[in-house]
Amino acid sequence: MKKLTLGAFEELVLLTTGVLQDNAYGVTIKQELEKELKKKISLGALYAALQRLEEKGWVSSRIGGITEKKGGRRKQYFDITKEGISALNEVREMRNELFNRLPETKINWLKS
Amino acid sequence: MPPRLATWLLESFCSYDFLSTAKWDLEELYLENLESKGKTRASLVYYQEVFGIIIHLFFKGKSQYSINTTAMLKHNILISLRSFKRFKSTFIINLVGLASGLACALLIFLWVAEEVSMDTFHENDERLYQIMQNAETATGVMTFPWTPLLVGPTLIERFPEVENATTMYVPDVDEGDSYLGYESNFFISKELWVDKNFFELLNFPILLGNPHQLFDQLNSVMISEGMALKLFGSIENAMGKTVKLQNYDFNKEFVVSGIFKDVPSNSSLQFEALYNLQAYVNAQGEYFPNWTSNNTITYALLNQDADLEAFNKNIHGLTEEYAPNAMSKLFAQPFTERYLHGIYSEGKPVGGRIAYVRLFSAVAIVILIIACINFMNLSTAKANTRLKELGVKKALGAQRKTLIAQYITEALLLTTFASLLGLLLALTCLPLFNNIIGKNLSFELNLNMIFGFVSLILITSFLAGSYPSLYLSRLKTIASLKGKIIGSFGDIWARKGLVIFQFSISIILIVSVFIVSNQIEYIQTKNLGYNRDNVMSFQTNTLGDNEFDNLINELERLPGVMQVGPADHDLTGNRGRTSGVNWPGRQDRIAFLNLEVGLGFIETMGIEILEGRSFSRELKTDIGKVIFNETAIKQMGLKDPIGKTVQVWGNERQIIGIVKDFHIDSFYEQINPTMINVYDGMMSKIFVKVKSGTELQTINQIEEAYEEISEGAPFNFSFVDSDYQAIYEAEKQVASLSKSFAFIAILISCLGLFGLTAFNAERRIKEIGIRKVLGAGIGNIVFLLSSDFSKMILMALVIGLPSSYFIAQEWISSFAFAINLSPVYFILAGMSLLVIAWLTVSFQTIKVANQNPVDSLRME
Repeated sequence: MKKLTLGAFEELVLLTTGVLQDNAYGVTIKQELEKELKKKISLGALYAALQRLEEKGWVSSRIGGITEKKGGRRKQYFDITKEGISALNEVREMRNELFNRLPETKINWLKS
Repeated sequence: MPPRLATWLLESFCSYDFLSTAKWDLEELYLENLESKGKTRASLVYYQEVFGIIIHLFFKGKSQYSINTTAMLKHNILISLRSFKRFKSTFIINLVGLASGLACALLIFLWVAEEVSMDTFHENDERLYQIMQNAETATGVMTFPWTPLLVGPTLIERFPEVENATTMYVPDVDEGDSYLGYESNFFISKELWVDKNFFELLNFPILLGNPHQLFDQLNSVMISEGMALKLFGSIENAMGKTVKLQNYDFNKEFVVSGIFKDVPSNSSLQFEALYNLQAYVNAQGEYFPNWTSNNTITYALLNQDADLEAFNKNIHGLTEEYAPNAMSKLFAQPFTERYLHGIYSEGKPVGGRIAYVRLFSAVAIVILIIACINFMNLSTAKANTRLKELGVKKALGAQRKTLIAQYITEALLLTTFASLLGLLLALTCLPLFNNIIGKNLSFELNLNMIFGFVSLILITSFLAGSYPSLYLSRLKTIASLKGKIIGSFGDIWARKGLVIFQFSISIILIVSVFIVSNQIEYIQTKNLGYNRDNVMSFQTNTLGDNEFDNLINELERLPGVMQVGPADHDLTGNRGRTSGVNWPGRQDRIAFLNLEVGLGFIETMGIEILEGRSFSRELKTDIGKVIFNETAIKQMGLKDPIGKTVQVWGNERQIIGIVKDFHIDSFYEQINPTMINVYDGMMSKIFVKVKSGTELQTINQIEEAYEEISEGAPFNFSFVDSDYQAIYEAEKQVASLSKSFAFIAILISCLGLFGLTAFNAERRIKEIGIRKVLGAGIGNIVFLLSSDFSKMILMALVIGLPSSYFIAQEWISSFAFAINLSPVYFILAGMSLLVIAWLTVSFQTIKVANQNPVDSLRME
């Protein structure tokens, strides 16, 4: 089986979904991301990312409770899955490992 | 509620499960934005998000989120793009045709939008009326916008339906330019003299200062932001400064008490300075507040539920109550209507600029239709090359609806490409277009503009796609799979009919170009009865009587000056009218044009004396005598008029001469009875006949002389000839626009014809090959291929020529002096169309006819 890859935007979405815990759905994810990234994000892009994540099995979705305010419309909540967490971990480890291999002298030299 | 159209779009692209999620999220966002950003922003964001979702579904989405519509749209777009690629020449013909058609439509749309928005920016524009007057004269009802000073206050006092009214004095063109200056820095400034209700009725935003100050003090002035910047560099600096007004009536200082925002270009009232009306009234004589002097403009604001007709009935006889011998009746006309409906007949608005608005809108629509016809014709003609595709689709169960959608998508895609190209074209041509129409239009990216642009694309693509989609989707499955298509009689005629329509329109446009440019030529070269060559005039508002005489003497001494003649009026439209003339045997009152001139004017303008003599410079006693034109004498019915006396405004005046008729009004009117009165002393303008060849030098000398005497008032001159040309600005605009539009219409029609011929020749290539093998000559083949089209063009001539005759006659009849509609114009127009069409067709046919029959027959 082909190895599943986690894109940069997907990673952000996945992280945000995890951070928001029980309250992760379209609008909240969008707003949280916009706050962090300080730029506009279109719902379309977000849905596309969520959809891909769901296909890869890294998020699960459930239909949320019926709120009275919204006239009983269904609300789709997203949750990060166990596989999602491990995918994030994998990406982070790989990144850390690469970062650690950066020559220290170079970093210091660039800093100064 | 979020915008319904966007929700509908979302519904047609999203699967059921996903839809409720997306809708829920979008609605929440919408409600949040509604509170924080307002309705427009919230709707805009909603649309943006919906399009974002659809685009992501379209390009990246997987099946579970979207529904068939997305897939079908993808498919249709792909098929359309492939067909564009496959039939490149057709695609390019359609693209170029539609793009130039859309560019025309866009430019005209821009112009019409500007014209229609005139004066609509006032908050209460729907209840704002201008009070007008109708006066009965011997020659019919004359309508004019001036009213007695007291009409406004009287309306407020006596009629409950009048909520408010404002009165203003707008300086007459006769009075020449007005100058506003600070220290020695003077600029031309248009001014209004307004009363305290001005800002309550009309929305001209104030930037600095309090308007009450203007109305409390007689010596205060409010100036525009632009004027303040020109005079003082900043608006704050301008406040409280003393400026000087110089014009016909005033040479007086005023204190700047406020600054208002520059008047927008879509206001029919244009001004850079506002003064207190009372100051003007005080400076005038006692006559000014009379109910018989009509000097001021009155606007009234009516109640919400006032009825215009009833109101007009109420005010009809108002002036008569105050001035029993007043001949005029009041009526109200909506203020916003005045600009477009400014021509009156029998006391009712009958037209005006609205005629041009309608004309150009019609032209835009017609050109767009012509471009759409190309698309219709070429797609239906190409039908049998795409029959297999159609047949397979039908066999697989495609419904008619789906096929219609496919062709509409194709049209939509093409129109979108074309409109982008058209927008580019329009942007490139905009400066040129502005130049022709004398406006300063620009594309502004606002909601209205985008809405107009999108609806233009949608309407065009539906227009273009409707016929092909209905035609193609109707074909029988089996017949199309077999590749047999029997064009029914009706279909072929429909296609031919469309071509005939295109070329009928082209012929009408060609004829109009011929007629309009010839009429303009005629106007510009006709002998006017006076000589306008090398005559210049300039304004002398600020001089006193003595200075004026000095200036005249000074000018006469210059070597390049042939004649000098002052006047208060000129021959290109600024003149008065009076019916206060009495003569022995008078039966009817006649409204005379009243030219008030100084000594030497008749000679300067080269007006010919028919009988008697002109005013003499030597005999001071000629002041107070009068000269008439032929028409006046004829209408008065005077025999041996020289030496007789008439009464002008109660004074005896002796007739000393008769001049030959000369044109003083535009060519739309007959020559009117004219009276020439002579005065000495200061007049508003001086006319100078300059020796040809020395213009530049002489004008410089005149300027020096004037500036020396006027102590620095600006010198502002113009040539009578160019003033004359300016009267026909509108006609010239129509002439150059009709040329460009005719060119574009013909270009588009020919493109279509070119495409059809190419297609036809391609289809009959085998037949031609066989004919050639059997011995047909090139001439025969060319004839064979062109005869069909020639018939259509001839048919177009039969339809187009008579209609163009009626249209031309209609236009020509609005002139009192016009060219004859000789058959030459029509023959010439018909011939040129035939030649153009033949060239287009022969380009293709000759190429085909020259082909080696081996190439065309070898294929199998």
